[in-house]
Formats: sequence, C-alpha cells, structure tokens
Amino acid sequence: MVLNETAELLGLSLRMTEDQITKEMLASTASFYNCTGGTNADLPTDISLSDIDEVTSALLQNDAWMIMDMVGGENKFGTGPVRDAYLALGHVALAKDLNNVNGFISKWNYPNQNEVVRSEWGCVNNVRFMLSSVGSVSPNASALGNNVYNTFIQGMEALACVEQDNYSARFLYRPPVFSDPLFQNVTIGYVFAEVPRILNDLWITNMRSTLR
Amino acid sequence: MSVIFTGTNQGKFTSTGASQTLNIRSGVDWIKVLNYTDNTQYFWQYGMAAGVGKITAANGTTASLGAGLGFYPIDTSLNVPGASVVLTTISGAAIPVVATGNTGGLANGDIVRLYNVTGGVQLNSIDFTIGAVTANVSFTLAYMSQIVAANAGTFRRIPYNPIFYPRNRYIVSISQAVEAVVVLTVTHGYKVGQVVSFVVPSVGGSAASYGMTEINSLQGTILAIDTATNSITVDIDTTAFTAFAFPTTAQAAAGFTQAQVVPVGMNTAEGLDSGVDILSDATINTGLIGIQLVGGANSPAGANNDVIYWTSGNSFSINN
Repeated sequence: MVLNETAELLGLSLRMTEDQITKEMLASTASFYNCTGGTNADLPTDISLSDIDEVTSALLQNDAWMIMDMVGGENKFGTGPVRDAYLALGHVALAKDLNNVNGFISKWNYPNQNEVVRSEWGCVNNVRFMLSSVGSVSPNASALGNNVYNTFIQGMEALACVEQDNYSARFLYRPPVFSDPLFQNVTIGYVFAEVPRILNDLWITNMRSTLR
Repeated sequence: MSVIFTGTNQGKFTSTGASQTLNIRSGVDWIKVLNYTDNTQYFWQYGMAAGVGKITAANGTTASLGAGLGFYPIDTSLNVPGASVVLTTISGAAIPVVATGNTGGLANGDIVRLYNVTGGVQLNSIDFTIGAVTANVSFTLAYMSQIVAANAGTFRRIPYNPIFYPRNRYIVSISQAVEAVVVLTVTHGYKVGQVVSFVVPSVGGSAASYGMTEINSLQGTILAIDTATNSITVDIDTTAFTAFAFPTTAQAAAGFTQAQVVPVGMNTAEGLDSGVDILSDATINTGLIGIQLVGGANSPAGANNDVIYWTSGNSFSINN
C-alpha cells in the first residue's frame, strides 16, 4: 500500500519534473514576443487577440505546420468548429485572461469532446491553449515589475526531447533484499536521461504577457 | 530526488572581487568562510535572511553584514530576483551611469533589471551586466549605448541566469559592416562557430524605431568574440542595411518587443576551422543548488586576489 502510494507520487514528480525542465529550456533559449495589445499599460501587456494573431502570422510566415487538426462542426447546440491550430503551453494563471480574449472558445464548446486534450483550456483562432500549474513564469520581469507569463506557441517538430541511452526516464525499485542488510528498507526513485532541445527556432515563439 | 545528507563540504578559491557561486548539490544549512588574506571570517545559516550574515574581524569583533553584503542561498529552479531598490537618475554618458543611494550587494559583473524608469522606458524590464560600482552612489550599465538621460525608477539584482545554455540575449547595437559586430546587454557566453538568429522587430509599428529591421530573421555564424565589449562578430554584411538605433523612450512607450540574438545551432565547418568544440552549441542545463558569496572587501567572496576557504554543512535536524 505504502509502496503503491509512493510510486504514484514519484510518477507524478517524474512527469512534472520533465515539464519543468522543458519549460526552463524554452524560457532560456526561445525567441520571444511581448504582448502589446492588452489594456494593463505594462510591458508586456495582458494577452489579447491581436497578439495571438501576430504570433500566428509569424509562425505561418516561417512555414511552421500546425499541430492540431481542425474539429469539424456538428449539429449540436452551443458548439462551433475549431480551426487547425498551433499548440500553446502556458500557466494556469492565464486562464481568466484567456476567458476575456475576444474570440476565445472554451473547450466545452468544441463539437467533439473526443478531440479535446485533458489540460486544454480552449482556443483563439488558430491557437489551442494547454495550461499547467508548472507553466513558465518569469518573476518581476515586466516593465512595471510584475510577473511575466511565458506561453510557448509552437508548430510541428519545433522542439524535441532527445533520449540518451535509449530512455527518457527510468523508474527504479530495489526490494529490501538488495537495499538493506536487515531487509527492512527498500529503495525507490527515478533517473532522467533526456535533453529537451529546440529543433527550429522559427517554429516556436515565447509569447510573453502579464495579467490583467 | 533529494538525498539525505548530513555532513560537510569544503573548498577554496581566489577572489576576483566579484560574487562567487558555490555549486553544492546537497544544499547549504550553514556555511563558514575564512578570508585567508585579511583574516576575516563569515558565517550564515539557514533561518537567516538571504543576503545577510555575520562577519568576525581579525581583532575578534563580530558584527552583522548589511543587507546584500552576505550570502544568497541559490536554487536556480526558483529564480527569485533581489529586492526592489530605488534609482534616482540614469546619465546620458557614453556608458550610462545609474545613480542610487543603495548599491548593497552589487559587484562588477552582476546582472540588474530596470523598472519603471521615467524618461528611460526603453530600458524597462531589460537585464544588464553592470560595470564599475561606486558604493552607495552609482553603478554603470557596462555594455549599454548612450541614451538621453533618464530619471527615477527602480532596479533589482538578478542573481541568476536562465538555466539553459546557450541563452537568448538583448541587443544593444549592430554595426554596419561587412561582418557585423553585435553588442549585447548581458555577458553572452557564446562561442565562435555558433549560429545565431536575429529578432529585430519594428517598434510601435514603425520600422524606423530599431532601424536595422533588414536583419530580422537572418541567421549568422559567430566569427569572433570580444569579451571586453561583450560583442560578437557575425558573417552578415550589414553595410547596406539601415543603421541600428536603440528605441527612444517615446517610441518604447507604445510597447514593443526587444531586439534579440537567439542561438540556433552550430556551423561545424567554422568550428573545425577555428579549432573549437563543434558541440559547443549543445543545450546544457546549468541549473544548480548552492550558495552565492557576495564579492568585495568585508564580504564573504572578498576583494580581488584574496584567498578564500569555505566549509558548509547540512544538519541532521533543524529547529528554527
């Protein structure tokens, strides 16, 4: 029972660590765009439709392929088709601001819920937003000293995680007979052999924004 | 995953006068420092505020280190900037001088970020490596070009770099030359042979604001590096491009995206020809856990050429 719970927690830690490493790599090396279309008078401003369209336009100009296929319209009340889209990875603190962006479509308005990703919040034109509590934040990084939220909008194959020694991460368990002379303690943990890397910087942009 | 470790680590270094970061994976619950040159000793332990500590002079007198003059525990995954400090002016000198009544903890080579600068909006939120520090009077923005003098604002010390190398950096200037010379605001760390991409957007909808928008999205190989000017020379002919100009405060007021150099790869042929590591562009996680010793006389990292011995430890239990 204890082992199962511990393994579950470690598994969660493993994948969240993987997310954190990838987001730090993107925050360090990806080119960025400052939102300027918002209303909070900071630099960058809060997120706006014009900013999302600006980034989309730049990715299109750079021949970045979209990742998500379109979701075709269906005869269901309160739903509407969703365009094919670039993928955006952001922080959950942006959820309220996204709700207020012109043209935002919440995922529950998608015609087919089988096409929805669990972490998805919704879409704006050709960008679908995935939010996470371990999304990237740069503390005190705006012109007025507020936190800046990094949203990585990417096309297909913009980045990769390189597996070394043929694995990304390995979960390890050594039973008491191998861990303790008195057979009372076990060893459990994980190790990483993975490096995230941008493959083409033209296909990914860090859209920086503050909160409203 | 954390490893239970109760014990000590130790080491020594010769001071450059700048702050010194010790990479101690097990973390630091306490640290003692001996300046072997001037016989002062320093102490910090978990529970004390970041940036402070105790100093014991050669005559045995113990006193508190002022804020920003002691020790900063570091976990680069947390990235916490220093406290907000008021600046009074930024001069219009060739190398801008930031006037402030509090330079506590700042040393040559540190990074600061400027905020809410009246008349210097174009500098807001940009990181700068600082040069000469005059205690509690001023510091210089070592690589920044001349600006129209600006007034009050604030700054924070940024005691970390983005975790992954190579990092994107802000551009100060780009020369008009057969092989363009690009100056950056923060010590860049790039190597010859690396390939960089340029982001030089228009500002406030005006292409004239940064001037050299022709270089936007172009890629160039780094042919040379000058650490004194913090510049790189790239194989892009900019002689026919519009002159580069840092935006004015009026242009920046409308909001803009700063000009950047973005590392994108390696020119293997150039690397081989220059005899450098052809994998120097490899993405490297430089994150660490440890502690930063603030530099300067009467601070734990000492003055230039001081010999510093240190011992740190992890406690079995902590009861603060």
